[in-house]
Amino acid sequence: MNPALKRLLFVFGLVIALVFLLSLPLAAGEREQASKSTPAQAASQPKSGSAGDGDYIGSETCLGCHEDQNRRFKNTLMGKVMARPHTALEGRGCESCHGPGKAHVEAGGGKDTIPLRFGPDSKNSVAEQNAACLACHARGNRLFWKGSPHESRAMACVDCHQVKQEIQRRLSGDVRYSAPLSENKAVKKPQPELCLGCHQMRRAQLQRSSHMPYREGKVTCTSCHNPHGTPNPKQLIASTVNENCLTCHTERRGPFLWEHPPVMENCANCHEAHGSNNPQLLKVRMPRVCDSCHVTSRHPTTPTLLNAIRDFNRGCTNCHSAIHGSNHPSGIMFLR
Amino acid sequence: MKLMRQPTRLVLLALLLVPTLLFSQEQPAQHGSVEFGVRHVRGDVYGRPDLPFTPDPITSKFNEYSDYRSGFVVRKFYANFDDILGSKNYVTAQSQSTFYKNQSYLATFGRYGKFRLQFRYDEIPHVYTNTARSLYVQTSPGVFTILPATKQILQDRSSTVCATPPCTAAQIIISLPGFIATQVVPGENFILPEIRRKAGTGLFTYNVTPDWNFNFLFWRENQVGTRPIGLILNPSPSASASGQPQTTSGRQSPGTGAELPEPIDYFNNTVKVGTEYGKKNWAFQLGYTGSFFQNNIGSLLFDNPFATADVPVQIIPPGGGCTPTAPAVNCAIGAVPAQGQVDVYPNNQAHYLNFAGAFDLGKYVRVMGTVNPGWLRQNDPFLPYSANSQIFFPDSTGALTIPATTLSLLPAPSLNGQKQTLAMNWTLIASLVKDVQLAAKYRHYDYNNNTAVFTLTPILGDTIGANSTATAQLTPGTAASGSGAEDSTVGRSNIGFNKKTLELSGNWFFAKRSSAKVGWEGEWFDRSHRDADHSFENSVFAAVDLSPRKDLLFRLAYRHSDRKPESYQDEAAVDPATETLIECTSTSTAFTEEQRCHRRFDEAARLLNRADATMQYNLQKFTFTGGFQTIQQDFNRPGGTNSPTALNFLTGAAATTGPYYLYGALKDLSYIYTFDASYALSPEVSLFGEYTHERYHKRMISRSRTPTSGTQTILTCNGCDTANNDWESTYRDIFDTYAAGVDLYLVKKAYLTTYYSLSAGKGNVFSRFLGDPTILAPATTNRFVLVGTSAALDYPETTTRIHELVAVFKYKLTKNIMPKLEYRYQQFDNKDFQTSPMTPYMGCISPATGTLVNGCPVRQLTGSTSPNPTFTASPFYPGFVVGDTSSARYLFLGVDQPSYRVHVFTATLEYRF
Repeated sequence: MNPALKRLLFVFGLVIALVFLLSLPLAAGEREQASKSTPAQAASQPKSGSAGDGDYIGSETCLGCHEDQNRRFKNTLMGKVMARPHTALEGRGCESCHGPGKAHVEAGGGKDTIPLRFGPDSKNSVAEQNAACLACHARGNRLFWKGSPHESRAMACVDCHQVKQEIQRRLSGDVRYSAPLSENKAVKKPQPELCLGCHQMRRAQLQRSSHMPYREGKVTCTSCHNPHGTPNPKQLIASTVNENCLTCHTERRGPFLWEHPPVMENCANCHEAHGSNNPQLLKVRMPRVCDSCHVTSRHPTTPTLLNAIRDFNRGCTNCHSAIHGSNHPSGIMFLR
Repeated sequence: MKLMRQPTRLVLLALLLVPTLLFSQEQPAQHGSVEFGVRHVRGDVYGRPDLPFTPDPITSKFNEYSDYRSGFVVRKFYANFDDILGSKNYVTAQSQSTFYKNQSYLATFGRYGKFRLQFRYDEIPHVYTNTARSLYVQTSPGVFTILPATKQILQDRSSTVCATPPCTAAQIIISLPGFIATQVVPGENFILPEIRRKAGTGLFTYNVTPDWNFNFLFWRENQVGTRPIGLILNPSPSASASGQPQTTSGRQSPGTGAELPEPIDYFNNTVKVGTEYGKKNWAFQLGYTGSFFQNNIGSLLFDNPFATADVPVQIIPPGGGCTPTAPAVNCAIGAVPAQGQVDVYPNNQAHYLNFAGAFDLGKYVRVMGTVNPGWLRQNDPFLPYSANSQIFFPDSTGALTIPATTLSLLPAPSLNGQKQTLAMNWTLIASLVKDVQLAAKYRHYDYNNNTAVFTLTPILGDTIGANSTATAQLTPGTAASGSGAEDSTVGRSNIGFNKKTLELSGNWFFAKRSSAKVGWEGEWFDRSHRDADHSFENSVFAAVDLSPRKDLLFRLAYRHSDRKPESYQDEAAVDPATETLIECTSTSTAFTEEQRCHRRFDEAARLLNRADATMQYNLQKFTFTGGFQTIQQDFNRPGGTNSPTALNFLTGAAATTGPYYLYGALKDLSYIYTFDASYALSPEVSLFGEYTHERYHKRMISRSRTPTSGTQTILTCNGCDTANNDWESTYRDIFDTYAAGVDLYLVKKAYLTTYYSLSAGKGNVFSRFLGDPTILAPATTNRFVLVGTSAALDYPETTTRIHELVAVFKYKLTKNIMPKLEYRYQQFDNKDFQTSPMTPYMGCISPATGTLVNGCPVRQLTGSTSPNPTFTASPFYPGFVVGDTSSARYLFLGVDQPSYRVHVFTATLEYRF
């Protein structure tokens, strides 16, 4: 086995064991606490909103009719969290999302009497649906959801996420694209298929010969973008395009002795990150990608024949290989 | 068995199944699954009949980022156990492509809603080519050598000033190309440039209370392998490549190039620590991110294939073919380096702080903000100006005695590079009226380079020429006439910028799943040491999302932007005599280093229009999505910082055909059409189909310009800077992407899914002259020079097709066991004029007329007819002529990613436990 992998496995095992041991007393403490505060009791705690406490009936009542839904829900991440509530809202079970169920029970059931339902059939507005989700999920990487592009385009959380519904997945979707391993199973489709449903032009770009390993499941949409909103352009996770790219391509970060200004400003000046048929994800193949700016003098201005050295193989970088920046005292022309 | 020979793999597999053994007896519910089996891969690489070997399909582009090989596979593993050992803790473990080069593992231990400890291990292979060969051997990390005997032979063969070997390095002789092609290349070693990224991530998150979270992440990545890099000795590979010693001052040694497998041995370490605290109406986040890049290779030191030792500037007295021209009194050959040294990416580090918060101000207003200061540092020791010990700098007396290899010549031992960034975002969202949302967003990004500025004297390409009298070496830092500023002593500049963006928008949610948005955005962009110091971009945008029925949705969006630089002035567009700036509309006849009317597209005035339209129709059995997108960027606008009048050379009607008001990129257009439909024929059968058509079009204008010498102007230099040598290049990419598939669900136990996809792309680079090709008289201001090897001609079309056919059959044998058969076929058809003809030697040429060079398989130019030369096409790559005089002394790796056909058969068993 690779020594580095061996070391990592050892350290990981050690940490796991430590955390496990430390967590046992914690578990005991929580069991004690849980015995004092049952989900039913938690549900009786006040919740902001117009409904009074008396309108909440408790999940046990819901299960009287909806055992089928519960069978699926209890195996989801949310189901597991709610079975082990840490907040009063989580303790309300079904009613934490669907609202108080008294009227529904008194009416003998019926979809219209459920205060809050999700999906296209719902009578509730997108904002109302999302508010229910945000009651627990407003923080973390959802901190900037409000005013984000997806929010302002009236997208509902359940457009992408599934909570308890069993989604009929197109089987071929599982074999067309690999996806990075993830704990997040609460999405309707794995990435990138989920995002490509709307962003269809990206689907075609992923098929290009020059691409990052999206299709191979090593990079995916959320490697760079946060669909829940960021204050950055294009919902990028990092502040700028460059900071985003340099998260992985750290060697190109510099500072360098000699810097190429458009490189420092924006990688996307020359590269198309989503896929290209040109080498190195270039928007335009060499030498034209360089020619379009270097309208200066000498060789960049000569429309050389296709067999010139700057036209084949690595193009201009046959010689100017340090084009992203050079730290060599003689690297002014990015030759060193 | 192969598997038995690898006990570590068996141990790992056993470890993966440990949770099963531990917990499966206690808990009858299903906890996970494992899919394992065997795989067989076969295929072939084709399209390169010229290669004397057959590239391996396993190392072809098919496995560029993956690792499909025949053998035992554990494709996927997943296990989850809750409430383990009576605690409230859970553990999950996942794996993908276990034991292969693209393997991934993810293991988590935690308590729902309380804490999570996660470990991730991921490997990413990247194969660059499987057609590479090299003469070089890496003798120690970063040091590439060629056998001395081989170098001696190449040196002898490239010398014209030596009748009897051993000879010194000088010019090439006509038989060198044939010699390299037939005697050197066949003996080169095969290499496989590839790198592997191996990354481990540890993540710990802990909810101290439901309102307070703490998280820690550590990521360590190692990249190891090689990737192609192009290097030259001399500022240009073509400099003096085939000529005789001449009297030109500053003349340098022949250009030499080599493509090497650059050794990669990187480590990346990233640490993130953060905490978040919040209540119902507010939250804030604090965090630190540290990123540390370490390159274990300090530099690349590589042999000059054509020189066995460093040679100083050679002064050749008159006679024997040398006839000096005043002020030169001799002929000269520039210094010859025996080795070149290149700096590779230096170690660096970045530190960022993150402050973010969101607050509800009352019921209707929310304020959000982030402040992210960053510090970037780099302080790797400098390399000397040159590895050539026979280039000298002046001592205190002015005598050229200090070798360029001396580090004390440098103004500092290292850069001590320091940059500071500051990203700030402030957002205010107000919902004062029901269903109406108003937003104000301000974004600020500052990129400051605080590195010390000092003066350097670069030695380009480890060589230097003679002084103007051709009596000695040129003093470094003294620009030779006509050689340009890069030979001079130069002060480096710190490039920095500041961008401020303000967006104001209003959103009306007028119905369920429906909204309308309008807004304005202004962007102020300030730069230092660039052409446009200040620019402002005005944008308006609108979007409508309309869902008239629950199964129908329309999304429309439009954006219009107008960017205007306050002024546009390249610092190099100056009169060399008076150093006054020469603007686009100036009538000065001085030759400027930079084209006076060029406009770089990232700074230039621009009009941008973008439109998006999508329609989604979702019935229970039928879904359809159609979309259209266009982005149109126009830089070619008269007035403002561009020329107010067309710059065409021709007058009258001819000038109105495609008039242009700047040099550089003029247009950048794209049109994308997408369609996606699926139909469920029955609960058992569903179909899907997709089609995308894309068109990309770009247009640029340039002018062939040659520096003047002496006191000449653009009127007297005979075609060195005239609109008659303007030329146009248009770039076009067209893509069609198809996919269709069927999913079958048979008798509740069998699944069959199959699809076919095709991505077909073709690209063109068209070029044409714009002037009058009949003006050919030598002593004419507007002399047409786009002839011969400088002609503006179209490049051959590039075509790429990726076919994929996949069929998967699964059968649910029992509740827990599901056998699966998969067939995957992938075909890659690639014809790319830049890489498809590549061999380790591309200098194999023949003269325009006369006999072929012995050993050179392809003849090049058949004439230099103006303005469109004719060629003898390569029999292998129609339209492409293999070979270039400029690469007569350049040894390539022969990097290509040829076409392939690969069949993958996989039989696996999915076991649920």
